[in-house]
Amino acid sequence: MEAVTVPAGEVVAGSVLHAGRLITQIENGRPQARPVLRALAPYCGRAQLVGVTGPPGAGKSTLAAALIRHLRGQGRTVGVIAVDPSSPFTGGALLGDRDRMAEAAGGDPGVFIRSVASRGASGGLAAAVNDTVDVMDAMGKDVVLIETVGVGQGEFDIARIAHTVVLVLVPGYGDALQAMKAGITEIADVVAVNKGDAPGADQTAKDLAAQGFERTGPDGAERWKVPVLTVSALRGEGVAELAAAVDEHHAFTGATAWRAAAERARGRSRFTAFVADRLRGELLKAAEETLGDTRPADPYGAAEAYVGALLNAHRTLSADIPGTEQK
Amino acid sequence: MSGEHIKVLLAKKKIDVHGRGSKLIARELRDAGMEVVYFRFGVVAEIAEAALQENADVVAVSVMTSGQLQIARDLIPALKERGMTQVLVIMGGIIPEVDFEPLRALGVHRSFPPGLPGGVVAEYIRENVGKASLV
Ligand code: B12
Ligand SMILES: Nc1nc2c(ncn2[C@@H]2O[C@H](COP(=O)(O)OP(=O)(O)OP(=O)(O)O)[C@@H](O)[C@H]2O)c(=O)[nH]1
Ligand SMILES: [Mg+2]
Repeated sequence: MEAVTVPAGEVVAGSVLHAGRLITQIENGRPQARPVLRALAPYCGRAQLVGVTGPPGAGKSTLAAALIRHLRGQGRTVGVIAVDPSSPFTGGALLGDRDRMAEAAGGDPGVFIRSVASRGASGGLAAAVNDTVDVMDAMGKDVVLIETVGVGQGEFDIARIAHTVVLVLVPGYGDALQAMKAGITEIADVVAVNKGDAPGADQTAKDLAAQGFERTGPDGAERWKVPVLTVSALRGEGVAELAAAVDEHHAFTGATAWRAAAERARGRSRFTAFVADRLRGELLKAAEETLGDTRPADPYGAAEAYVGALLNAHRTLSADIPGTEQK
Repeated sequence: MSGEHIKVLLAKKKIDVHGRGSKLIARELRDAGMEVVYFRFGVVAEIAEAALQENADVVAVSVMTSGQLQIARDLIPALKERGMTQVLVIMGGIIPEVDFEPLRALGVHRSFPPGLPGGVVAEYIRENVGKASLV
């Protein structure tokens, strides 16, 4: 509602009040958030970003809670961004992830959980999640967990945001498992077969492991064998092993060209998202003003001519974009 | 991003098994276009901490098995202490109407009796959100 400028220093100092307000402004696409995010940039880049994805009800939130407990036990502070779907009809949302994690958080100042509604915009959501990651990063959280909406519910590209993506599956998926394979090779760095306390988990894990999933690094050189682990989020079994696999992946990508390439890709996608956002808002408005009250007989032709002129003008701009580093 | 949505933190006691009413309210508010964080609390400080992290516009507490006055006595100062002075606080469930005025005095902006027609709570929230302050 209110849109005062949030003091960046307060966020860096760890103020949950100010960070919470800033995230709301980010979600609402408020321009007030932009200068604050810029001021936070120097404090970003330290957090380990872990994505938790998988089909609805697989146990993503419960597993996130188990990971929070484990990480807190290691003395690491945790930020959580938990995305749940918005209703396409009313725009409202029921955000239930926090409830599953409440026990793990329970007033611990080392844990900051934020529930986010998907608001139906997969592109816009990715931008908002990226910026929210920065807020938690700048606050000094050691690890930021990002729980996506269930796979197949308007997935946004978690692989472009997280350093490590944990794909949570459950036993007895049958044909759905076949469909998941695409996801495994495209996004999963670690596979967790959850509900290990239920029958069939070990068999599912064995079947998956037998497939020998591998991910190939950006230059085609390094390969990462995707580990498949059985866990029970409910009982906390296998969680330490899962956390170790995540850390191992993080260390592996950090030691190779992998992470640098990923960070470049993340930077690029944020640049384009930001540009697209402003173009949609401001340039479009300016274009309409150019049109004025005239009613073009040939709207398509007029649009073509306008965009052509715009691109021409863009070519005359300096080739260097200020604020970028040559690497 | 697309528009702004009223964010409601809807809390109920973890040890309270009555879940039907609060879930009904959660759905009603969602269907009114609000973003509802539903969660069960152990101690009242958890509500305030969650409201802070979520930057909730509204804190709604469902009380089915009494304790409303003590919850209010703990909750209002906990919210104020954290700087959440603009948040709208409401209660509902099985609360005797004789408690409504004492709850008001403690800082709960509005308490609702059971059996209200749908839409009343959403309408109250929409009319009062952003205008409240905790005194
Ligand atoms: C069903 C029921 C149960 C079921 C619950 C099943 C479940 N999972 O939900 C069972 C049998 C388990 C149960 C157990 C108990 N129950 Co019982 N239960 C009921 C009963 C009959 C109906 C409740 C219900 O579901 N109503 C339907 C829903 C839709 O309505 P509602 O809950 O009132 O919710 C509405 C409003 O209150 C409001 N609302 C609710 N929350 C909120 C929040 C906000 C912010 C707002 C604005 C509005 C709002 O919106 C809803 C829609 O209008 C009521 C009696 C009654 N007629 O209300 C007793 C009742 C609630 N139970 C009661 C009691 C005492 C108990 C027990 C303690 C009994 C015992 N001694 O063991 C235990 C509780 C154990 C525990 N740890 O919690 C008392 C509470 C007395 C009080 N508050 O002073 C009641 C009122 C019965 C009575 N007359 O004594 N109960
Ligand atoms: N038996 C068993 N049940 C589990 C386990 N982990 C989660 N569950 C249950 O599975 C259900 C869904 O868990 P959530 O953690 O909410 O799943 P989710 O993937 O976050 O669900 P969405 O966010 O709605 O997609 C709950 O009833 C959990 O209690 C587990 O290890 N074993
Ligand atoms: Mg979940």
